[in-house]
Amino acid sequence: MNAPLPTATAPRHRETIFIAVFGGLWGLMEITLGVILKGLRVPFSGAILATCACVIFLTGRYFCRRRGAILMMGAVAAMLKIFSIGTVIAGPFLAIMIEALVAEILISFIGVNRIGYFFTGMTVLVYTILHPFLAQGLIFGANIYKIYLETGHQIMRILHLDLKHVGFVFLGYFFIHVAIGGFAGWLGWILPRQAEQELAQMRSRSQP
Amino acid sequence: MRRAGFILVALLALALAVNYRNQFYVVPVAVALILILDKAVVRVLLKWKLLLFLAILVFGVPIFAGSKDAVWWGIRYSSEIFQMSLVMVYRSVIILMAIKMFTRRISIQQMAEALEKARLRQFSQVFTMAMKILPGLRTLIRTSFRECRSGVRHWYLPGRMFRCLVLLVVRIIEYAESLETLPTRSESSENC
Repeated sequence: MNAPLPTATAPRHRETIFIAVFGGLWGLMEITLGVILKGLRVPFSGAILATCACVIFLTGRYFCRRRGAILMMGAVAAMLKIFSIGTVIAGPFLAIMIEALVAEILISFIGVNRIGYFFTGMTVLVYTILHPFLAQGLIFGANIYKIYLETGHQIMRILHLDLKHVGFVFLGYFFIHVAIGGFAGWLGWILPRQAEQELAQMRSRSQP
Repeated sequence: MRRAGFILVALLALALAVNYRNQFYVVPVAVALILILDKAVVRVLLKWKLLLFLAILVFGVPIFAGSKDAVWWGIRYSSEIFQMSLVMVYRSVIILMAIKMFTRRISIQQMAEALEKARLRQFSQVFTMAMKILPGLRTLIRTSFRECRSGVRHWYLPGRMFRCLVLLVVRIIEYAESLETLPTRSESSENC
C-alpha cells in the first residue's frame, strides 16, 4: 500500500487541515447538492448524497491516517449543514453523524484497505434504507412496524400479490443500494491512489 | 444547555410512558409543559405532510388494517389498531415538540462545544478552519469542473469524469498542502 504523501510540517497540523478540507467538502456537497436533490424531489436522492459523501470521506481518510477522522469530518459537515439552515435541526444533523459513526467504526475495525472501503460504502448505503424506519421507530414507537406489516398484508391481499413478490422488490431495492455502495467504496479507494500517483509524477517532473 | 437537556429527557420519558390507559393525564401534562416553556414549538406540527400522515394513521389505517371489531357511524374499523395509532400520534407529537424545543434553546456554538466535549478533540479549531476555507474550496471545485466541461467533448463519459475527479482531488490536496504553511492556533499564540 502506498504511504501518505510526505510533508515537512507537523503531522498533527496536517491532519487537522485535511479533516477541515474534506469535512468542508462534505458539508458543501450536503448544502448544495442536497438542497437541489431534495428540492427537485429526485428519486434515490438519499442514496446519491450518501454515495458522494462516501467518496469524499473515504478519500479524506486515505490521506489522513488518524482514528476518528471520518467522525470529525462528519461533525464538520453536519455543523455546516445546520449553519446553512440557520438553526439547529436534529434530522439532518443526526443522519450525517450516524453515517460518519458507522463508517468510522468499520474503517477502524477493518482498516484503510480495499475490503474496508468496499464494506464501508455498502454499509453506509444500506443504512440509508434503514434510516427512515429507525427514525420513525424512535418517534412513533415499535408499533409503527406492526402497522406497516398490517397495511402491507392488506395491500398484498387486494393486489393478489404473494409475499415472495414483495420480497423480490425489497431484495432488488437492497441490492441496488449494495451495488451503489460497493461502487462508492471502489471509487473512494481508487480515486485517492490515482491522485497520489498523479501528484508524485507532477513532483518528479518539476524536480530537476 | 444542561437545563434544556434535562427538560428534553423528562419530556422524552413522558412520551415513552404514554399508553392508551394513561393518555388522558400524561399527554395534557406534557403538552401543557411544552406550551408553558415555549409556545412557538407548535409550529413544528403545522406541516401538511406530517398532519396528513397523522390523519391517515388515526383515521385511515384502522379502517384498512386489522380485524374490524367496532362500528362508528356505519364505518367498521379495528379498535386495536385505532388505540395503537392514537398512542403513536400522542407520542410523536410530544417527541417532535420536545426535540424542537431543545434545538431552539441551544446555539450552534453550544453544539460545537458539546462535540468538543464528546471526545472530538480540536473540533472547534477544525470547524473554524473549515469555515475559513469554504469559499476557496467552492471556487476550486467550480473552476475545476468548468475546465473539465470546456476542455473535452463528451465530458460526461465515465472515463473522462473519472479524470476530472482525479484532477479535482489533486487540486484539493495541493490546496490543503498550501494551507499547511499557515501557523496553528497554538503556534500563532506562542509567536504573540
